Amino acid sequence: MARLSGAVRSLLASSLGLPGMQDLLSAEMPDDTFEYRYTRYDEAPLPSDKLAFGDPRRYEIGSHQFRIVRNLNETYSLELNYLHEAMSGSSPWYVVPGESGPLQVMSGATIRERRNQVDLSIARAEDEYTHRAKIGYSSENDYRARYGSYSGERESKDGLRTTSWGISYSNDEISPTDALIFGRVVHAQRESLSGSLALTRILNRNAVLQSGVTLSHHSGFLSDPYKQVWINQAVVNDSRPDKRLMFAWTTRFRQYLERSRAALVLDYRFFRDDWSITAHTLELAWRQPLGGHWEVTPSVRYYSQESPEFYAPFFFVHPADGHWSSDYRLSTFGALSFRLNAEFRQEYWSISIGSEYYKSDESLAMTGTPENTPGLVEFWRLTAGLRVKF
Amino acid sequence: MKFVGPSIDLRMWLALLCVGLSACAPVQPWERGRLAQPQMALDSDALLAAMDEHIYSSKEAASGGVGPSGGGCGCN
Repeated sequence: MARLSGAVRSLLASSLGLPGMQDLLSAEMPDDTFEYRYTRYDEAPLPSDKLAFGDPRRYEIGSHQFRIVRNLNETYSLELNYLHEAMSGSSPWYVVPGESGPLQVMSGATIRERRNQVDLSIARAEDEYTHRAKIGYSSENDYRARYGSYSGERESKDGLRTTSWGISYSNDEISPTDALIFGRVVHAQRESLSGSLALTRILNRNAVLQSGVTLSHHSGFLSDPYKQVWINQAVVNDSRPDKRLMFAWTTRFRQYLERSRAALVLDYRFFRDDWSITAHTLELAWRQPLGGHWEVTPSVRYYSQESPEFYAPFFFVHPADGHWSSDYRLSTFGALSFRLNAEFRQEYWSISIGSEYYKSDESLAMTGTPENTPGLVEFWRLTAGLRVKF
Repeated sequence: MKFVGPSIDLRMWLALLCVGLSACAPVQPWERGRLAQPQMALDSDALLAAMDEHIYSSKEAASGGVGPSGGGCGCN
């Protein structure tokens, strides 16, 4: 949402008696806030007719998120985010040819691990500019990431346009478990650098549009150390290029509907990278306020991607360039998800609950040449959150 | 490998978007009350949006939205 200039803020401050002005001002000056959200994520077990061997039970994840926003004065604010998640289940390992099509081999033993992530940001808002710097750290038993970012935004004098920009950097270390037993890389690094630019525009009194691009470059060990590939009777480690350039263009549109007081939400993302992956994401939502401080939001999301050149479920000939992967997440597939969220808002607190069903399948791909991909995921997500202003 | 540029269809959508961004009616500050309603926010819930990005980017090849990204994870 576009910020309001100092002059406009002053004008609003003297106009608080008018209906709607309280909401407009409070959108500009966020309160000190504490937020907590719990998310339960459950993947459906792999069907027996797609399983070669291994444990068919897939990931279950419980996530706790905490967020605190604290205004230090009229210019500076701090934000602290903490995430803890506990994961268990088995993971797709490699794919073998079967009589009626590819069959998935799953990791045999149940994986149990925990991840902690913390980041701290400081923001400076003055006149038409806002600047934000963030540092963060994520740790799990086999993966560590240290990251930082700077982002800024500038609002036009008339308050109708906001230009946003940002850069971020992440340095990640990978130390796979049981590396010597399974012949995995013992220690590896990867780096990511990204830049983004976006423009937000108030189109009229009922509609706002945001459009932005992100360019990111990844280098280092970009393979998955826990994935292997079947190549002509032999099973070898996943091997991807050590560089990747990604481009994403995202457009978000919000339309207020006077009769129902609802908002129509339309988000679209175009993605392309130099691994020859092209993807489209479309999300449609309807945010409907109800009586008694409730708001319900049904939404549907569609995703489709085309696989890179080095992906196949398995190979009968060794690829000459030395790159191969059978990771189902690189296959040509499409995914549909259906969500329903509900939020109950009071002046100083709110609670929300939500549910999502997500199903990916090669038959849902919009473009490309889909192949039978037994590892594609199906999951449920349940979430509940609390927000308190203090 | 080559980074392939936007297709003709994509360039057409970009042109339409530029027209849409530039051809807007003037909206006075006191006319922006509806735009400040909670249901009109670009991201209505920061924690939910962060979890969305985390889950989808660990199950799909595409990632990235509007704004800088965070750190990676060894998600399987």
